[in-house]
Amino acid sequence: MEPQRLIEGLDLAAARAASGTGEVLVDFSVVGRIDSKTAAALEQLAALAGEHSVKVALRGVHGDVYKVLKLLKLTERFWFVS
Amino acid sequence: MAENAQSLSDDRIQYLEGLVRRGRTAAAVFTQYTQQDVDRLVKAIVLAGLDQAQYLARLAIEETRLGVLEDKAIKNMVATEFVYNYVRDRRSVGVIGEFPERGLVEVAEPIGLIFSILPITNPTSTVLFKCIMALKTRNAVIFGPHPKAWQCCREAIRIMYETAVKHGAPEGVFACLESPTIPDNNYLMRHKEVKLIDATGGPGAVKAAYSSGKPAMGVGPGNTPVYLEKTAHLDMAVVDIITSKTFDNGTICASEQTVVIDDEIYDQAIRKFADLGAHICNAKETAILGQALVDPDTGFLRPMAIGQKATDIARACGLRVKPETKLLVAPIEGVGRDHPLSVEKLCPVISVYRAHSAEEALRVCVDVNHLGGLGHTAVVFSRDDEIIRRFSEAINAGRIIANSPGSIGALGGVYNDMVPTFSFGCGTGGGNSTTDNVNLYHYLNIKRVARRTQAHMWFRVPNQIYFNFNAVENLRDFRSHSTLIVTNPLLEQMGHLDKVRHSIPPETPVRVLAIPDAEPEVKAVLEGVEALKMHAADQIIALGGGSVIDAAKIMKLKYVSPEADLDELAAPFLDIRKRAVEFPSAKNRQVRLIAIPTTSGTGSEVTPFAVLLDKERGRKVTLADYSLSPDVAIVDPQFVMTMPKNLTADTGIDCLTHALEAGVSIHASPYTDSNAMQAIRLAFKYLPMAYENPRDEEARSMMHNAACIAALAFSNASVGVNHALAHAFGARFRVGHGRANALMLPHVIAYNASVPTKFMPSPNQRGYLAHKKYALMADLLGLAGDTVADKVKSLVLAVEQLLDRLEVPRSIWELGISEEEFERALPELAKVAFDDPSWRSNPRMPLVSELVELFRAAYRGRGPANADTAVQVGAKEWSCV
Ligand SMILES: NC(=O)c1ccc[n+]([C@@H]2O[C@H](COP(=O)([O-])OP(=O)(O)OC[C@H]3O[C@@H](n4cnc5c(N)ncnc54)[C@H](O)[C@@H]3O)[C@@H](O)[C@H]2O)c1
Ligand SMILES: [Fe+2]
Repeated sequence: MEPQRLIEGLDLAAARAASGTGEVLVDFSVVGRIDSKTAAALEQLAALAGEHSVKVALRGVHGDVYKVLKLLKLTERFWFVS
Repeated sequence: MAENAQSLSDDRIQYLEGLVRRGRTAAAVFTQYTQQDVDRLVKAIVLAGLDQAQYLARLAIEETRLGVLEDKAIKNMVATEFVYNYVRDRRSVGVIGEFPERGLVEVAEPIGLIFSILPITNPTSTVLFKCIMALKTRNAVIFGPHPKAWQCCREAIRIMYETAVKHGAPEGVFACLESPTIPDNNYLMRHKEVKLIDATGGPGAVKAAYSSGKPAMGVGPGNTPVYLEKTAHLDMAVVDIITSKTFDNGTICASEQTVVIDDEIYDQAIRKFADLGAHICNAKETAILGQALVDPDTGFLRPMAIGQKATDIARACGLRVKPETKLLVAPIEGVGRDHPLSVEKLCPVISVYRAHSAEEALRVCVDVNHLGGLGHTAVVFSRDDEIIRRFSEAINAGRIIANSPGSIGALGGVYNDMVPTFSFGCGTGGGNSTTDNVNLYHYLNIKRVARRTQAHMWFRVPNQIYFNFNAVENLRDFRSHSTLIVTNPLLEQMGHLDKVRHSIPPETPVRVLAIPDAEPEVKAVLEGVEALKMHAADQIIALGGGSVIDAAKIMKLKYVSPEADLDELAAPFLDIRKRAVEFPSAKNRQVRLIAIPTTSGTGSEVTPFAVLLDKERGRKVTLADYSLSPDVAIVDPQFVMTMPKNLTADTGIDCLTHALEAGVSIHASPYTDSNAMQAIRLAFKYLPMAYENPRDEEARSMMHNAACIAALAFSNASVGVNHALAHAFGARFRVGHGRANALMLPHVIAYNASVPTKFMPSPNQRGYLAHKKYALMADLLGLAGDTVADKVKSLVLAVEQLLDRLEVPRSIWELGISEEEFERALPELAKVAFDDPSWRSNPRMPLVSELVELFRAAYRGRGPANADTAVQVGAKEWSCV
């Protein structure tokens, strides 16, 4: 998936998280790799979700991407669904 | 956030945190890259570095005012081209090494964010080198340049970074500290997101790196001694030293510092230095140089001299030298504080020393090495390999450069096949963690995937075993100039000895040694050795039970290898294949040992074991080595027809114990199993027959074979905890070996068949097998039972019934040993049993407390043959089999 589209998706999710509405589900099943910008967007999303107590679930996260999230200490801040 | 932020402003801390955040994200993202990805990135930055080599060299010179432009440009090229040449085809992502024959695979794991300190002496070349290593290994780096070299470094890092990101590297992969300060370094060195510190620089930076409490590679200063030995190629040596020492005005820390020259070639060498553009200082000039260049307080070179031209240094010190002078050569007469120029001089000043012998030369080189150069670099010029060897042993240096220039030699890849680097590890001598030329592998965590390997196994037995009635006649085939028959008086009386004598070719000179009728002791063995020596025997025939045969084995050992130290050879071991002591076996073939057993039990005629009684210590010493195995075994049942009933029973139980223990041993193999199973079958069938009807030739013959066959199994699979218990108990209470085994046997089977408290590491087995093996034995014997547990119970019962038929006491108590006496002996018994090597192959690792319980169980005794057995030791049954 194009990094730009992914970031747009994450921004959207962040907006929903910021509005404090329910749960947010982001589908990662077609994301084979993330770049530094996407990682930063995910960090921001995690922060917003935490602030507004919104549960963010990531679906179908690939192993390599999961490891990046782990290294950035983000795994505890998302829910992972398959 | 890191501690130690006292002297930093909030803005500065924010700035540093920003660098760390970006670097950490880059490092995390980088973990997803493939080998092809990183190789593409590396190639791109190498080409960019090569393209900018001269530009960056110029920047370095302008900013630092040290070194030589041309040399710095060359350094930049070496740092890119040579390093690339080394890393290009090496794997650094995923699987990086495979060793199928060892079942090992190496897998790379990046480190993460690295904080890297850069030196003033090689600023841009070190940047290029470290960027290549970092990209190749998928790491992110924050660089902390020397404050007086940060602008040229920043430019080098910018070129590397922009090129890398343009080709797809993660954003933030490299960063350079702007206007770096020592507090910045300290802050980053202690930052929890920084995973490794790579400090190339002076002693301060290295020390700070190691003190940070982080994994660190700190590579610091040197003081390179050179031994110019009399057999050296002098023209080559002098040119090499000048090339190296003047390279970049001597700023490479591996460059030559003091040349120790053999007296025989000293004058000639000095002339050559002078001819090639060196100024040779007189004593006064040397003193002036020493005072001017070396700070008497610190003992280090003054910074103003680093990387300056020889002529500039001379001018500054008031020395008059020719304008084309490239090197100042200062003769010194010693090393240390009184000889200031014996320290590291990162400039074109070199000291020389006249040595009057190789010993003196080596001594002075060691002194230089220890004066701030430990672990770094040393150089030797010699055509004498022995000199190079002695130098290498005497000097503590990570790089010992033979017959080539120190600085360029140490960089690797130009004059030799060392790994190209710009960081020289100095080992513990230099307070470093490695002596390596730092390279990409130091930027990786290397994970090792270790597959289960199969241990080397064997099945070793004597190559000649003769069996059946009158097998003794085969003795006719064995020529000998002098034969000693070892036996005991009883067997002599019984006429067995005569039968043997009759079968020996008549022309063979034969002597007989009858040893006491008991288990062998050192005294009997030494008498035997004397007899063998006196008669210059080339053949030993051991006629007797296990005791005689074991004695003969040790006699042979001490006869052919008098130096053999029995105490040492009896040292404990875990695995015979790996044990620490080595038996002398070179002369083993000079004397033939023929074993003719007269009991059907020990199987000593084919085993590599010999048991010696150590009367003083009240214990048995077991020697084990295949060199002890007899060369020939003659398993002739005619010699066992005379065995009294109790001996038949005891030795027969020993045979059965061997087979049962070998069958469940962790060293059991299909080869030993086939023998163990057959021996169990034969013993169950024929032992009671031989016992009840001693004249039954078939039963005797089959039991004799069974003993030998069981021994073929336990010679290779060894025995187990039953023997450990029996050895300890038998030695302490003077109970025969077979009987001692019998008292333990049912308890040990049940113990091994239950779920172990502690498993024995056993690479050759898949899962715990003992209970299943026992069940297999029960099947073989046609015993009842549907489940494994039932079959094990049937086997225990069958053993108990057999023991009852053989009229073996059911308990230690029945032997007349009081409970108090037994309880008193118990702690020591358990200790001795635990020391016994026999249990090392037992499937279940015995705890000392379990040995105690097993002894107690044996004391109480086995239950009536039809009861649900008395075995309670650790008797947890397997529920899923
Ligand atoms: N080397 C090994 O592999 C091995 C294995 C198990 C046991 N051992 C050792 O072997 C020794 C026990 O050997 P063993 O059980 O053969 O007993 P043994 O050799 O001690 O003999 C026991 C007694 O039986 C007598 N005897 C032997 N053969 C006879 C015969 N045919 N007729 C009448 N009497 C006879 C002997 O004179 C002796 O008095 C112990 O020291 C034990 O530790 C060695
Ligand atoms: Fe034995």
